[in-house]
Amino acid sequence: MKPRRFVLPLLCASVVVAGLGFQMLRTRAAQPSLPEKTVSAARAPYNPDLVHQTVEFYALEARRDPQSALNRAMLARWYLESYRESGDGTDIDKAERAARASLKLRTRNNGDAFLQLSRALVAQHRFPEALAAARRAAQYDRMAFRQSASIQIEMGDYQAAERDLLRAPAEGEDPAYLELRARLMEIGGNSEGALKLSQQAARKAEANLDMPHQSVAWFHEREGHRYAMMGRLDEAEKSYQSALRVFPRDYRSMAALARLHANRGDWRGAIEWAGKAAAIVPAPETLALLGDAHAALGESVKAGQQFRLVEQIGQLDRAQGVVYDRQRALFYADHNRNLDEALTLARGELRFRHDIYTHDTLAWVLYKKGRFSEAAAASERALKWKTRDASLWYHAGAIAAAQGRKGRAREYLQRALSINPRFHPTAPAHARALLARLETAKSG
Amino acid sequence: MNFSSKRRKNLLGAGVLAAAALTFGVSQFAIGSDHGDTVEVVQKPGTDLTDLHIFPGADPNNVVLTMSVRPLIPAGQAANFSFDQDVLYQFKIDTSGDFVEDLVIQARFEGTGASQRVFVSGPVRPSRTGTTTVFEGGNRATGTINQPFTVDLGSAGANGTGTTSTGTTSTNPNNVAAANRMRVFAGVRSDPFFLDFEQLANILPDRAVPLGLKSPPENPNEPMAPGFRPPGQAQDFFANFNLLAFVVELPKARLGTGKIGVWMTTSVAR
Repeated sequence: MKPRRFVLPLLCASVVVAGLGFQMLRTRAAQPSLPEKTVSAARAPYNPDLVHQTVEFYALEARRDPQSALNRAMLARWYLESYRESGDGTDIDKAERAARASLKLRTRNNGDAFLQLSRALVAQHRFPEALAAARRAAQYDRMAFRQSASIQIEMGDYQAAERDLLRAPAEGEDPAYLELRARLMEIGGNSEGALKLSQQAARKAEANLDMPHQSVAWFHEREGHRYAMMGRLDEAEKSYQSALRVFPRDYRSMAALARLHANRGDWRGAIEWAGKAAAIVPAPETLALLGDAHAALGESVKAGQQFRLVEQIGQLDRAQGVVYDRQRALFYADHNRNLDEALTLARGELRFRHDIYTHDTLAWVLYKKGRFSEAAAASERALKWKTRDASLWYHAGAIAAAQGRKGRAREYLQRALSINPRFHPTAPAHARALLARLETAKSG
Repeated sequence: MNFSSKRRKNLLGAGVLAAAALTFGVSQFAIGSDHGDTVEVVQKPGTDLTDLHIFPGADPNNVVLTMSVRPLIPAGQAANFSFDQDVLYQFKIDTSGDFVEDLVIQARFEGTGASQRVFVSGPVRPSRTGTTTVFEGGNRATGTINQPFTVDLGSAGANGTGTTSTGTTSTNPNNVAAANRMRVFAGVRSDPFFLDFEQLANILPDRAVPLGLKSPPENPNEPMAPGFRPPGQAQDFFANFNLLAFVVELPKARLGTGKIGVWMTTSVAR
């Protein structure tokens, strides 16, 4: 067997040396001409108890030392990891309380607690507070500028996000950094560039055997999302399956697979995957998709059950601090129900968020309410960055058509279908019908 | 300032040095534990070396070398952690006083979890020294993580240069003559280091700051506490943390007859 060669990245020693003063040897530069390794190491299988055990450990450690700010910050971190894994909203509240307890013991040089507090607040959509906490964290650790960049994206200040990302160290372009850049690139309309960054991020995450399984899965899911946005559904499916291979309980990838099957017109497949995802985390948009699938198959009773659940779960989640307001508003608009509440939800989101998707949601709700000029204004804001998301252009096209702006409607609808002809289970057919009507009107 | 924990740490270091002095001569210098000492090791914790200890074995003819690595494993989670398969772990031994390794004892690993395989080589003269290295061929043997095993070193002479090294593995140390026997353990052990780290972070503000910091901490020279907490209040932050240990016990004669220097390294496969 060809011997593997190893390069010394560091040298650490508590050393015993006779007779001579010994100083710790310093790292020397790696020699660049060594061959690549030929054996790839395997990731340990996912352990469903690991996160819970770690939460329990840090909870005990925090009790053992009532003055430990470090253990409380770690506890907050692992509560958030637990939320990420299970979607249990009560973990967010616990994380916030642990982070605040840590900060009560020490604020100075306690950047990690500020960072965890910021993450807990983001999960509750308390963006301005989250941004303030991220800025405090960044005083101690410039990596926290990534968190503030991410919050700025959520709030729709993309230029501020770019600035913050430049202030954060790239550290070898690790997956999280690449994914943040991909997100900004995607919003800026460069889908191909965003996909390349996501592919790199997923590869790097996969190669990092120390990264938690759910985090690795998240990078695959993001890669799948970018393929799906471009209509490359087969490649998207592979990415989602990669996520599930690493983290079998990845409800986000299950929900994404449900959408993918629905977009292909495979309603049974959509029901199977949405059912699996909802059994772990019954997110409103997953339940809505389940309802749509049942409705498409003529199973109106089951569809009705799911649609009622969307409302109940949405309200329940909100009580637990998990906010799905934008998803609920879109659901109401898509299904022409509770439009007044949808408008309240969309406008509520707009108080703190001015991102393209909040503008788009408001536009779509206003359109459904027949307030076309207001809808068009909101839609223009959603298209400000020329993001290549077919649903944005479809909404804009439908609104323009309703306003009688036929040329613009044709342009937008054609663009939606050219970006991704399978961006939604039913909307592409509607877009094509609208286009046909516009063509008829043109020729007539 | 109360430096009780610091003194305890010094005592620990002195104990280690004294033990080594009995075996190898006068010792003068030790550097203490360091967990997560660079951004690189935080991102690849399997390379994170913390402590090297050298002390006499139960058999006075033997010496024990212990490498502590991959710290901060929460208690009760031993089954979830194993050595990094991309890393070569080495004891490097200078027998000539020129600060260049004359002998190495190496370990590398394949697989994960409870069945992870341990591959050990050495003590053997390395085919190359310095920052680039390979897994050597001398005295190779295999075992399993968390299970001690014995390597038959054969009748090789000091410095591992003999020609009759066998490098075979035996699960029964009695099957191997004491003079030829190297016992090996690689697996989870309690972190031997202890410190009221929480309070250290208050005394030395920069210690409270995460790695990766590119700007100085707030008022780095202004302690947030005057000293360590008194006995009864002080807490050993590391008490409930484990780490991975690579431990060998072998006849002193296998490492030469004079003064030696020992250090440990982790190297990433390329």
